[in-house]
Amino acid sequence: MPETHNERRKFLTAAGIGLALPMLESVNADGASSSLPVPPARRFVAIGTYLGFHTPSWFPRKPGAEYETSEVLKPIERHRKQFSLFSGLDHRAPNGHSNWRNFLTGSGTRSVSLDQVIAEYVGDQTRYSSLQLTCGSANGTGQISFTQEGVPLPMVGRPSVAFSQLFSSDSDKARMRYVFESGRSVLDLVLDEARSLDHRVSQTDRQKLSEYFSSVRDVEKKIQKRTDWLDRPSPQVDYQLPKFDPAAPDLSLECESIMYDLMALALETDSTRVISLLVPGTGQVFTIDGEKLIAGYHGLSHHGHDPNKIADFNRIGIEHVSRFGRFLDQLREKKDSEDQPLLDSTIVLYGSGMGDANTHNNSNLPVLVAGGAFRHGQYHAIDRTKDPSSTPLYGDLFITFLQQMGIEREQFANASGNMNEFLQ
Amino acid sequence: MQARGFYLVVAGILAALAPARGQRAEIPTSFLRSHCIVCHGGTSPEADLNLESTSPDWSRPSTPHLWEKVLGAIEDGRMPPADAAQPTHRERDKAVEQLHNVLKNNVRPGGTVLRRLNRIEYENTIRDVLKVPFTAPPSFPADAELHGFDNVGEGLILSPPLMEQYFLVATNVADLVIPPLSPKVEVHAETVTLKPDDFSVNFEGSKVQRQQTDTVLRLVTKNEVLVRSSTWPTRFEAQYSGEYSLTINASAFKPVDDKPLKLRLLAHKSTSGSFTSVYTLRKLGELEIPATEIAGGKSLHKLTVELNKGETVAFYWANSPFGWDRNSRDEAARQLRVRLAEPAKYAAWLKMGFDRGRTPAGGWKQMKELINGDTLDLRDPRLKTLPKRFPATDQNQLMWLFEVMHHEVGPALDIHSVVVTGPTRLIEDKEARQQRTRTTDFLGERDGRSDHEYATAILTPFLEAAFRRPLAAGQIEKYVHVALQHHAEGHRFEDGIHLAIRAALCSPGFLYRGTTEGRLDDFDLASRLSYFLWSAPPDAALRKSAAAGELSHPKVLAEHTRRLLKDRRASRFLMSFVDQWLDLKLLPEIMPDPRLLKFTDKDLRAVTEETRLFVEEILRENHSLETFISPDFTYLNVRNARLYGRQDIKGEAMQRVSLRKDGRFGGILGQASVMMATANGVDTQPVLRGVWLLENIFGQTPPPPPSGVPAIEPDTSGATSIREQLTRHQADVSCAQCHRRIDPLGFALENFDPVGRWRNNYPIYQKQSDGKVLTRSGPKVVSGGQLPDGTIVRDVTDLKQYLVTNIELFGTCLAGKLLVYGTGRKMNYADRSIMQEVSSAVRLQGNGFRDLIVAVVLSESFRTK
Repeated sequence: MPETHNERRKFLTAAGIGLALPMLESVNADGASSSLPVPPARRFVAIGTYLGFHTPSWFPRKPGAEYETSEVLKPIERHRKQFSLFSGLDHRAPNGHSNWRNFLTGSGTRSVSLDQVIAEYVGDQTRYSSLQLTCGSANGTGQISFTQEGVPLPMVGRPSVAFSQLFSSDSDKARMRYVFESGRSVLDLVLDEARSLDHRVSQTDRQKLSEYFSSVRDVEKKIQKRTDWLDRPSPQVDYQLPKFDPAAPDLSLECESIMYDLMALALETDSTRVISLLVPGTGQVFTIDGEKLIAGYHGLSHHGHDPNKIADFNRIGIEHVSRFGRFLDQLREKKDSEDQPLLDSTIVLYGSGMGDANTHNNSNLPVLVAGGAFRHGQYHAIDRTKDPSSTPLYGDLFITFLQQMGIEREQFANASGNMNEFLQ
Repeated sequence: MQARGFYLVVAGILAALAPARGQRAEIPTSFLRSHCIVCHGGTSPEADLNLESTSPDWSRPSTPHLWEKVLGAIEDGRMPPADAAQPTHRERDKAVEQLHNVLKNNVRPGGTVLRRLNRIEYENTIRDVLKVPFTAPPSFPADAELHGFDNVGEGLILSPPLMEQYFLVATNVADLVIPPLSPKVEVHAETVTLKPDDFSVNFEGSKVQRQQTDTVLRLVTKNEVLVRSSTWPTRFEAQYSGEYSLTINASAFKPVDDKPLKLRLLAHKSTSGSFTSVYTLRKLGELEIPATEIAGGKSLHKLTVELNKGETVAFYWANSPFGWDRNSRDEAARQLRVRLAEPAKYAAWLKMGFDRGRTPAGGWKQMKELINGDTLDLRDPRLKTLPKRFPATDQNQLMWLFEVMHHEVGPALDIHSVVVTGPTRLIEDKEARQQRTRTTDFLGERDGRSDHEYATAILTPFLEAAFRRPLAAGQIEKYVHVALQHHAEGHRFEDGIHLAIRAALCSPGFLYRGTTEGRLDDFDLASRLSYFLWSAPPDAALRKSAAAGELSHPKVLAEHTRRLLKDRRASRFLMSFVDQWLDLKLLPEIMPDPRLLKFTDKDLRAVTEETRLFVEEILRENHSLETFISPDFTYLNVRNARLYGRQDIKGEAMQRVSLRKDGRFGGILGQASVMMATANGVDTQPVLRGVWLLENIFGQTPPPPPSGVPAIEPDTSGATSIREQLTRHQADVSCAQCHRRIDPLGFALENFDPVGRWRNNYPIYQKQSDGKVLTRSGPKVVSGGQLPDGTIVRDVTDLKQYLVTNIELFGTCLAGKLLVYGTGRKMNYADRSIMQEVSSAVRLQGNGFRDLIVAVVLSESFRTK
């Protein structure tokens, strides 16, 4: 274990979690998936830094297994057999801050993000179908997760809020239970209303009204399911949050550390199997190792090739990557229900929707894939100067992820291939 | 004057609009048998269209649309297909006439499918009915668009995820009216000591700096934008609304005079944006820091402030000698001139050249080195006259550089520490106060009534407003029962009401509108009108007229329509209708090719505002429909003016500008917004523009293109023009059927590039070896063509002329668009003749846009479900 981990004041012992774990078997009451073979990967985590990295300091020089670890990736050198690196990948989508969102959606217009596609399949097996996190208030920064309709999902930025959602006490649940239980009489009444309307309207309207009936019945089922979850006690974890939420932009690195801890706990307690984390970046001026950086984060990202700015931009990058490294530590230490390291069955995608931060260009994205029972340890430099039709797209990697999770999809946004050869 | 008699004219004409009864009308069976059912008959008919039945079932809503399609195909010669045996002209005309008569006899206006509230309507309805602040959460699914609008019944699906949102939102909304009992918490005052380390330091670190190994937080500037000069603790925010006492240790640093330094304290919600104006934040107090330096900086100032939950205290140096407000470029220049007055400084600045853009601290260091060195030319004539204004980049860089200077040389205001103790007393914040008022307003006084009477009194007016109509027999009892039952189960009486509110907000009576069949009753008519013009439920005046049974009287209906149009809420109609009709909503997603034009959000706003303001004036002034096509005015600012080649418009404010009526620009056929929306930001496609004009200006919907025909790929090398590629449309008979209508219209606008600028040649881009792109003039644009009626249109000016001459085409089209938006359905055969009648009636009365809207509302189509 790296010493930085031990230095931290928080208590990460997760004693007694095993008892509180909602077991996968018990959740699948209908037995739907129990007969299917268990796919190699069962969880998905996507992490994106909003302002990206200085890619020349991120990408190693030489591809292959023997690459020399780059400056920014030094903090995760110890994990190099557990991840693969890619360069040359992107969605061939437009550029700029607002197109950061393509990171997980793959296309410039409104569309669903990869994590939500996965949540659609695995989400109903856990208390939360997915978790969307950021660090502090993500005011003015991007969005990472999008619903089927392309609506951005709100992210939780306060550790205390994320913690209470995941591991809420019984008093927090009392209100939810009240809303669901009293909600039954709400639905009974509105169904009665709809039935009396049904007698009066034309045949076409009756067809339209059938949407209403089936939607209400669907909500009834959902309420039942959520009430069932409320009946199970929330997992108890022994984790000490700081007294004050580090929600201010200046404290976002501090917040980031806590969010990673909560993500690891959420996966360990099987509270969710799909998590996205947007690591935000605005004008905040960080102090690293007691030294204030020469400019704000966003200003540094537009470094204009000034070596001093690049150096400070990389210091922030290194801070992000070392936090990510500690997250990987946790995923390797913590075990799933079969007593295997969580990382082995968790696909972790780390990178950014920003390629060259200086010009805010969204091509040639920094992409790192860890865990997920893939073959790792290599740096794959995709040559984009080759025939474009045979060059893999970022979306092809997504298709490989989906297949690894047992989700048969041939297409994602503009991609219709896969990158299995790189990872299997 | 004109308006007063107007409704009578329209109403009279519409009353005369009865179907051609008595006339024998039958399906032209022999024509169909000889020409159609070979393909459109049998067990697997072509296009799934079987024309064998001779007595269609007109009660099925799909039947009229089917026969209209048949009529259209026969009428414009698309069917029978070119490679089949053709009927004689006489045969075709006869069949067409017969079909017209059949449709006239069998199709009635109406047919709106049960319409659920769309997102905006849902939000407005909740706000109006419960008088609560409300915005739908981001998790709300988006509404689908159909027939060009997002409020068409058929297109508004009620999906399970949406129902789930309705269910969850209903609780949150009910909480705003009747909040749940919150458990009493024991609150203890806590003391936090905030050191310079615990404060926000933003941007380039030049605004606020920590000095002397972080023992001091130094303010040097004042700026309207909070984050640009102020600071606030990152590790303190009020956990409860209450009183907090502050002890602030602050002192002056190298003051230049003896005026006290004013340290203003502002309430800032730490999770909200930090780019807010300091003038919008609540002032908590102002300290006067003596203008004397104190060694060690022990100068304690005490203050007690009221903070709402989630707020923190921002510190702003209100009388800093350095700083300026947003957009005050002259003051900025003055401030900079004061600081550059020393010739060596300006000489150094001029010499710094490219390096100016380094970090502010680096910039100041370099300036000092230059001043202390001997390389500066102090006789440079430029030093004599400092600029009146500085370019934006220079202004920022200079400001940052001088901020660093002030940090070093003063004057500045130093904060050494802040100690916060609180809450020493809890307060009811504004939110809590508003909440309490809402609850008492909604519940009213019990006045000794029984639970049943009291609940009935509370819920009846609420449900009537929520369902926008009187309650059906026994309906109130259902809701009262749910409320009292809940109370009987041991919950508060108020919780029962809370539950009834939740039920009402999920009920079909709330979520759907217009359930009466046939002609709308007064209540459904009131709803249709108010959602049409306000996207909101009927107000008290409309409900009163409906309850009195007066609304269906044309005079009353016309008066209400004019009243609603005058109200500021009519801006919702303008925004929603215009953005959808003219596709302005597409603009934010179109990014013009940077090789063509550098386009920012401000340009986008100017282009969009031009069209909105333009239509708003037409409505407000009741200008004629011709104004849409060939106006003598538009709205410009410096940004969109440059698209039209006008140098004379300055500033960001949109201003009304006169235009030549017969010119190229202006009107919906010459505005950049429409030209952008009908292109893709990169190149123009005459077919797409032609189809757009046909649908949105001429009111015809061409059939979709045959499958298997590839889209036209523009040849960027310039070897073949788009026109050359499209000439094959004329060669192929089956293509020509539609493209002779489409292509000439699209080509009439071909002089407008993808951002609406005039061009005579297509651009050709050439990438140079250094990576830069050169634009040169490519092939000449050949615009125009021949319309199906033989009219030659050379370019947009001819097309405008054509439309003004044939304004009834546009009038009917616009009446149709208004009706689709207002009724939430596709127009059928009967509706279409009403559209024509409406537009003719309005034309006789001066063709005013407002009059058109009134006539649309009075029409049978609008008033039928």
